[in-house]
Amino acid sequence: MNRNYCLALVFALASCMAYQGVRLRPAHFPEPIMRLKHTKLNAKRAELGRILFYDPILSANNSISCASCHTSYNAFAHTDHRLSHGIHDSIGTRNAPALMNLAWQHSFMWDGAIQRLDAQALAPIESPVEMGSKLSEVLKKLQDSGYYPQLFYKAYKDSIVSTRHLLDALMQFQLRLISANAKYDSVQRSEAVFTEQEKKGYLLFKKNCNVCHTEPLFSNFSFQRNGLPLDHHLKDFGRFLTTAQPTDSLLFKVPSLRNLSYSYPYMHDGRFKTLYQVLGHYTKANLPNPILLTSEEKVNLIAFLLTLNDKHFIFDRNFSYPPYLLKNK
Amino acid sequence: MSPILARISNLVLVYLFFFIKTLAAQEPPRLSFELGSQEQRITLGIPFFSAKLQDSVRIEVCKFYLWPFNKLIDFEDSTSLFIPIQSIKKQHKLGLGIDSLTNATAQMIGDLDPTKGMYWTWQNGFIHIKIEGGIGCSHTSKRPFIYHIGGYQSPNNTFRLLSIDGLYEAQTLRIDADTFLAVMVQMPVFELMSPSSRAVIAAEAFRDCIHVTK
Repeated sequence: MNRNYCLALVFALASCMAYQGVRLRPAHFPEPIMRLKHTKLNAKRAELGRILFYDPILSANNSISCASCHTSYNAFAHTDHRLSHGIHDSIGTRNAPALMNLAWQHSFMWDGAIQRLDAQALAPIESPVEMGSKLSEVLKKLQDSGYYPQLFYKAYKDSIVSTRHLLDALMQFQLRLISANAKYDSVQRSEAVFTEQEKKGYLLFKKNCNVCHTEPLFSNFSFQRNGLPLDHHLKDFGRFLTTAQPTDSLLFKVPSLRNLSYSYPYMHDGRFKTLYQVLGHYTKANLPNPILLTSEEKVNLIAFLLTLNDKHFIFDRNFSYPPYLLKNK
Repeated sequence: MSPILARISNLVLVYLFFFIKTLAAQEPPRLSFELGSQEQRITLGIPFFSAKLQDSVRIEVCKFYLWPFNKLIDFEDSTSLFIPIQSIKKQHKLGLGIDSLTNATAQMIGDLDPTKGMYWTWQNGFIHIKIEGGIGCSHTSKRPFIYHIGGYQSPNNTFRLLSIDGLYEAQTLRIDADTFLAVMVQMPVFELMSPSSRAVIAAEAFRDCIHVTK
């Protein structure tokens, strides 16, 4: 009896560890750049981060939350919105990027201006066209809210709402946004097979796209100039605005191709609404190195790209609007 | 106990009390920072005459990080203007700003809390040195200046080590604002808000205007 009990306990522990392993680093993913084991992932902290992520209290007039531009049902992008929307009906200059697999990225934002996920939230909080707030005001509002001190205490054993804990909680939640359950992933795990059309598309992808949109993350997260002409209204020179290096002009971060169906429009300024428009750009004859594709090949390639849609990620209830906010707002 | 012994023991107690009190009052030697123009000391918000610019100047903000302590020296907060000399001797090096590793990994607490106003939210990284004020005495001719000097990535890394003669024997380091402003006005640069080659020149000018006073 005792032996069985011990075996059951060992099995349960092993299962639990395996579950954590899958959850934090899918087996077919490389080692994350951000060492997850060192970030002390913690369920209570992540849950606090989730509540903060969905709470407009972070904005100056309590109208805009992180989720306003990064909704779970859109792979944490802002579907059908070309440019990000902010406080007082402000319009930004870039398309809200999808948030997923962040632990595998060196830097954040389209120009890589942010190098620390635990500091990233400061940018939208203090941007006058996003949340238009001040960090000190946010901390005070959270402290005075009547319920956040208790939540911070539960997560950090400290009811004082500090910068460090606020940013850490938001990071903890975002680190959990791992998308690794698309059909492509099932094929990698030998749980499914591609159709003939998807197989052809996969071959085309590997030949033409994989250098920058490297699988399994479908981006190498480098900065590239992809031939898009400058939008003279937005005047967005990309990475140049961060580094002031002329060679960085019009360089933008290569986005992941996961969850494309949920995260349109495409490109840093959302100028393309459909994948056909995107392929139309890359196959244009006036590009230095256009991709040569027939109409049929375009269809096949798109069929493969659609295998990167991860419904489990999109509809994961652990990532959606937290019930706690419904009860306490 | 005889009255004589009692008196002696009382005297000993009183002596011990004052001895301990004196010991407690003695603080370890400290290095202090002051803001100056040439040989005169200046105060935030109070105009002074700049010999180099031949004009009136008022400094409203002056703060910077002292490495490797990650300590914010802020002339608005008089309690921040000191550091034990023993700490400096232990480290052997002093620098201006926040080094790259700390920029990328430091916990944002204490003087590194972004609420101190020394962090660029739109582009991660600490502002190493912040100086704000105006040149010109009349309101109409006043030329404001805002220098937020920072950047931790090559080629615009503005972190600089201090190399000052007599640093370890010094009691006071003076930031000669006049000399710094002369370099900036000569460029001419009146606004500096992001990492750039101009920020590197500004960081070096700030470093070079720090010297030992007696």
